[in-house]
Amino acid sequence: MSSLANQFPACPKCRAPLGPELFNRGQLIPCPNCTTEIRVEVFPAMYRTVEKARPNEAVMIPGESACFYHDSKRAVVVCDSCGRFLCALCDFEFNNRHVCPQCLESSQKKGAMGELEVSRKTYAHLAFVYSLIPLFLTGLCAIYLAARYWKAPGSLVRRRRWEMPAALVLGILQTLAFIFLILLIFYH
Amino acid sequence: MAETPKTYERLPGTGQGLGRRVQLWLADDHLLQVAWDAQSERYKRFRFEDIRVLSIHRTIEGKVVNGVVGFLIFAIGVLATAVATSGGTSGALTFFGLLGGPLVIVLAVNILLGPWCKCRLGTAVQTEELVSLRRLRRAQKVFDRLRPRIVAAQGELSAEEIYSQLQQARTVSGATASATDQNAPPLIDAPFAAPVKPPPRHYTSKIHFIFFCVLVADLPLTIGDIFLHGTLWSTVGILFLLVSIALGISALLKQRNTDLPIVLRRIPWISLITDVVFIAASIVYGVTELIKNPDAPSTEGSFLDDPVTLVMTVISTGLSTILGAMGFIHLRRFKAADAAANVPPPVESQTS
Repeated sequence: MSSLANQFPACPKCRAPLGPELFNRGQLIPCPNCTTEIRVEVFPAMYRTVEKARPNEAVMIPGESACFYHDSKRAVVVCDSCGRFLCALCDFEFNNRHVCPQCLESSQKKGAMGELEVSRKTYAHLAFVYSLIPLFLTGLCAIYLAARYWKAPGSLVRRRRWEMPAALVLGILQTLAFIFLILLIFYH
Repeated sequence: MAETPKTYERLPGTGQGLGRRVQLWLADDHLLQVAWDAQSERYKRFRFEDIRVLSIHRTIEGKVVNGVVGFLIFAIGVLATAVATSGGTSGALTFFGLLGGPLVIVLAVNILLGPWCKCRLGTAVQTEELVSLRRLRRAQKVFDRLRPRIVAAQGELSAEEIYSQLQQARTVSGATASATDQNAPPLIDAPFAAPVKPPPRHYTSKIHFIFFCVLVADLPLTIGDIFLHGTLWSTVGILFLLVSIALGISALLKQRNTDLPIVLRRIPWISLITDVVFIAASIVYGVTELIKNPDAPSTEGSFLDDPVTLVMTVISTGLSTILGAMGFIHLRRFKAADAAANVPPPVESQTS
């Protein structure tokens, strides 16, 4: 029954399977088992069968195009990025494009495929935070980060284009203020 | 600086964690969960086409917070009243105001924002908790915004369609089961009707019996404390209380998913709740008395001298004794019924 049980959502609290009359009601209803108020929205993807991977076929006829990475396997597709022949194992279909593992990895590193990006350093924000902490070296850090990563992409969702210029200005001001303070202490 | 095209729309709610903040952002074709730490953003994308289930369930965290904060406000209020009536300085009252003010704000905000909840999003490969949606009302609004987009990407699923999908899955599963395992139990015709819950275990532990013994033993101990008041008796009393609480918690753990009658299951709860209430009341009363009469020496005599303590002790001991006695009676009935059920049928004697 485990495979069948996986087909249907359970109560998020007590894990008891729920009936279809409890789905997609658009409001909170009590779970028949634990009486916790729940709302469960189920979508057609729930019952979509997962496509199985194509079998990796061996080269049968001499001279038949083989996979770039596996000599003995028949090529089934061409990499849309580098043009290499790929077998079923090496073919990654992503956003209606077929790419090889190497191109996928390099795209991920370069950030060429936005959908593959899982994290991003927010240098602008970091520089701005540094520029607000008055500890002398933090001002220099803010200037360095602003100069070094001026063109680095910012946040994916929050467009704060003012952060990098503000960090640079505040970092310079902070550093100048510290230099002035040091000069004042030594030459007064 | 590189241009970032604005394609995301912020959804309400921010989840706070240890050094990170989590928010949900809506794109044309996916939901993006962004987690910020000090220097970077981490993304999780959920394409509308892949989302299988969205679920909300109400939790009691909000009520717990209200209870704890409410109790603290009440305790501070009692102390402030005691200070005011005993001619306390304005500085002391200001202190209590500064202490209680933020708690009142916390309570008011918690009540205004409404009940708490947990939200989950399920795909074929993962179930993600949406930590930014902690408030029920907000979560409902977000789900109301998400649902049309997912429906636009996947289509609507009615109850009839779900039921037909169930029938198909059962057919496939039944065929597989009959082909692989001939001894497999037949599939029930209406699996939605009765939720599956593990059957209760038979209760065999002795922890409730010991717990009821301790509850009943509170009476002779209190009588001894009244007449032979001293440090030894007080220490024994405190140890007895701690043992009682520990046994109560153990009983609660042992009785989980067992066939123990409901009356017996409630006794540890009632006992623990009354213990907590009386401890809290004793602390508040003790501190109040201390503030009222800071120079008064600690009572060395019997608590018969103090009417409030006497009343609290009598109520607490009486309740413990009643609960213990009730527990014994119901436990005996339960054991008797159990023994009767397990008696083997008499063997028919062969008469010629």
